Amino acid sequence: MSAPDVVLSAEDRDRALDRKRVLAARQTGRKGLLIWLLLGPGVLVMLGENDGPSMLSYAATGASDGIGFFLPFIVLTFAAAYFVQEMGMRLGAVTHRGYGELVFQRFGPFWGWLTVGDLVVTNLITLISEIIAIRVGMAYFGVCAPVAVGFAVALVFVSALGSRYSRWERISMSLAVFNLLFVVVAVLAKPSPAAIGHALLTWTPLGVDSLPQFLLLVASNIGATVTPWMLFFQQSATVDKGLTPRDIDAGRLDTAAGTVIAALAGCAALLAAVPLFVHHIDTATLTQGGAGYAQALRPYVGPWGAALFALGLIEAGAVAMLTISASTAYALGEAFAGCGHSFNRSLTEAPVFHLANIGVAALAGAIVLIPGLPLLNITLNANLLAVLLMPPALVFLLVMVNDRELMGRHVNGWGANVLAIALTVVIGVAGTASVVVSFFHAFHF
Amino acid sequence: MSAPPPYRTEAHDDTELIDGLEPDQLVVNTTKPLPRMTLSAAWNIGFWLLRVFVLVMAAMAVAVFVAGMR
Repeated sequence: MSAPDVVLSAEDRDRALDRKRVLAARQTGRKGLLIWLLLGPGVLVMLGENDGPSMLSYAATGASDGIGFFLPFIVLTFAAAYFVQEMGMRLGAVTHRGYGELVFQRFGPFWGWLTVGDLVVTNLITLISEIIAIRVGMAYFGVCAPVAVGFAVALVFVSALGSRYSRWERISMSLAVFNLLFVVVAVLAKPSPAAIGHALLTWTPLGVDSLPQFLLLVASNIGATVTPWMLFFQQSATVDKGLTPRDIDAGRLDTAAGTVIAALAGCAALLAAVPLFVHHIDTATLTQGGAGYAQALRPYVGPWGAALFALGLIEAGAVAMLTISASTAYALGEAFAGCGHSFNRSLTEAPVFHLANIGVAALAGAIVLIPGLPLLNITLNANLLAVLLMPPALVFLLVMVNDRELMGRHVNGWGANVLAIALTVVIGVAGTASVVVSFFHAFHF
Repeated sequence: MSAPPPYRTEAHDDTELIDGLEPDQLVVNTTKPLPRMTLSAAWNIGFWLLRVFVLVMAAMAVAVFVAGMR
């Protein structure tokens, strides 16, 4: 490609600067630097999925059910998430287009608007639960709710300043590292290594009444770890970062690193709350309001451990705020073709993208501050909307990642397709069962 | 005041930067829409059934959401 033929946009120039560093590291054989430069979307998507509500949910599970079933189960769900996210990363690196963009262009506006519309609604509601988690974490340090909400929204705003993807990514990554605070808390909780080894090797059955109930629980938990916003985010971030087919192996390493760290932190949150299970502490009211689990854990992990748990919650919510707001921005930016959808563009160059990024966070913050709203009901019932989108999203992903016109030699192998189809069926059945069972339960049929 | 350009167009360093990107990675190329996927009759029927399924499920999910708010 010769320079006089092409006029680079500012977005191209910023991306090219980042790519120059990657190419230089590759040419000089500096593998450590190369991996560091290429890490990002995979780590962020997995640690974004380890969000505030998830960490509270892991802690609640550890406190109510122990580790026998859920410790290996967390590992399994993250393995499923890796598998799906790897396909999205590959699709982005090869096509240089986001997931929403490809759905609009390849499958038409019906599916495009349906997926983007559903994603925006579910992301808004997920962000509400992230802000609640940040509020719960900050309550431990005596910070009032409006300040906690202001912090969450300001974080999204500040991270996008400077109009550089690499800057946004490194801010998010530096926050995401603190997901490992849960590991420190788990160590302070002094779990039994023998019990952890036994749980991972034997996978104790969960004490539920019936097989359908068990299958629904398993399938819905996998469905909760493999979510639509993750698909939108990682593929678009891969494009924004400028990954190419030569970087697919590094993208896999990035995604695998995120998977391992997230699974480790998730398991740690579960283990951290096991003392509450052992000492039969009633956890029914801990998730809501106040300092919750951090306060309850204080007698078992000490004041530092409790403070680290609260900080971990703030971090988990903060990283999810950044990644989920970004996924909303990417989706809307891609829906309004020609409006720009990159952190490498300024507010005037990509108004829809930046307004969506900050607007959805600000709206979620405003909703949290409305007195008397049934926030728990909103967040619990909104899960169904997310579940609804996942089966078609996986079908589209599978079709596109097998499309030689798009992917060339990077299409799925048969083994990957067998696994992907199995996963799509499990999540599809789980989603359908969740919606149907909830419907019949809600209307007392 | 005229509207700002869709993106800045300064190009003085392009000769140094151009090799950093693949041709199909440039904004000028990624903004060109891809054609609709050509689907066989069976796939078309499948996607129509998926539409009906998703719309029915969406109606149920919205009903549950509304009922849960009461």
